[in-house]
Amino acid sequence: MKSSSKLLGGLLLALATVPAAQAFKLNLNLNKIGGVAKDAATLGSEVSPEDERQIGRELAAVLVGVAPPVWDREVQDYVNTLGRWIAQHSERPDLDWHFAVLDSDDVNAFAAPGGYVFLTKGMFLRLQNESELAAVLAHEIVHVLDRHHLAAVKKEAGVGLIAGLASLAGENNDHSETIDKVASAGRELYARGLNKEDEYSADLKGAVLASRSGYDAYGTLAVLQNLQAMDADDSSLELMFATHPSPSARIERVLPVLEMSLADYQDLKMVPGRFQKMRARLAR
Amino acid sequence: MTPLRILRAGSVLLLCASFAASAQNARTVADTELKAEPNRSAAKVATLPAGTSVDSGERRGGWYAVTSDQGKGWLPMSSLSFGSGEKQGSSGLGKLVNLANTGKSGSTVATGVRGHKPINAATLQGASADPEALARVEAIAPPEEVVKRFAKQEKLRTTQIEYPAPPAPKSEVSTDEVKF
Repeated sequence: MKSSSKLLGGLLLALATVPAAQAFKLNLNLNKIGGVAKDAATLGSEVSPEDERQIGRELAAVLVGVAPPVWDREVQDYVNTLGRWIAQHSERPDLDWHFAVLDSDDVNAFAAPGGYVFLTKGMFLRLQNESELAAVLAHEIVHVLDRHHLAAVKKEAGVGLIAGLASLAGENNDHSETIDKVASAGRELYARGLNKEDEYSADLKGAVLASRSGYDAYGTLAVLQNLQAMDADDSSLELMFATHPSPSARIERVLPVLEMSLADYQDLKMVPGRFQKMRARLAR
Repeated sequence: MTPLRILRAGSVLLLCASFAASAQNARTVADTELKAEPNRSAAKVATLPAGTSVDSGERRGGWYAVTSDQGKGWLPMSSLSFGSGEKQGSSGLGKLVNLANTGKSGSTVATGVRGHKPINAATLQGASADPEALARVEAIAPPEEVVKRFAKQEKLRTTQIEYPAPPAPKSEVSTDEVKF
């Protein structure tokens, strides 16, 4: 067997859920790993877009393994359309963005590299209007834009991950170990959370993204005050509070910037109507 | 229906009711003018001293409609604090440690309730990847024209806004890299 066909066969076996064309792209781009990073300051930027996507798929598959997407096509279409509208106003409009409401009563939201954004049904039900939902999605979109999870997974799995990814393209086809390593790093990461500065940054830039998309700039603050109003011992907040700075600390950081830079955008849209229709479907 | 289910259904209904009305108790964080309308140049209804308890209702931009002992009016969102402050931040890590110690058994009760599906350290650790569920997520990809129509329907307009510079981190030393 020629090494190239052996390689492609190995990749297809390894990534049974990935279309052949995508797996082939992964092969091509793996050759670039270790090459010149476009932005050396960002750990995640050394990974090719295809590998970022692949790592994201592994992480996203774990999240939906914990809580599957809600079976309501209308609601899922709605969050995807809103999410894509916001993503169009970002620096990475061409990512293959996918959004979903997960069937969990917990109050939380998640992102995975390459364009995956999830929020729980519990979070959706706490919101009042589309501008607040836009704020939640925009916060998660920023984590994807700035490759926060990718950098953290790379840090967690370290040199081993890069070596493992490279081994996919080499003679050694022990790829299941690499995929396990990515999934395991993801489980750890979602339980531990990103660093606090990533969260503060996502609040700030998320508020801007939502306003760029036409939503009132105070949606982010409304969501944070909503969380602040909840009983901190409420079990539905367990992971959110374990992995994020307190709502009070987040408000303290986002408020001055909001007041200084975004106060002019408070009269943009809140869009309660169609949002509440969706919330009523979820509350059934 | 088991008593637990009935209780749960009841609490969901309560939850919906409270958010439909969206009344939340809050306190003023500083002496603040209660305004007749949601803007800074509106007439003053009263001056609320710091620590005044109010019930907040409708939000309009950066303002909440509130009811206080000194009357009804509007307060800037930034003048209000909801909830009890700092206990959240300090309890978070402890909870995570507890979870790690108790492992899966810690979530037995919660997972026993259908539809709850907590997402926490224990359930993440015990979860298998679900490529089929992910495929359902990936199957939804509204085309450009649908997204445009969605925005047009509510007259959402694109606005050019640069990301603001983040405020300088406080004196507490953080080893984490600041993005931007």
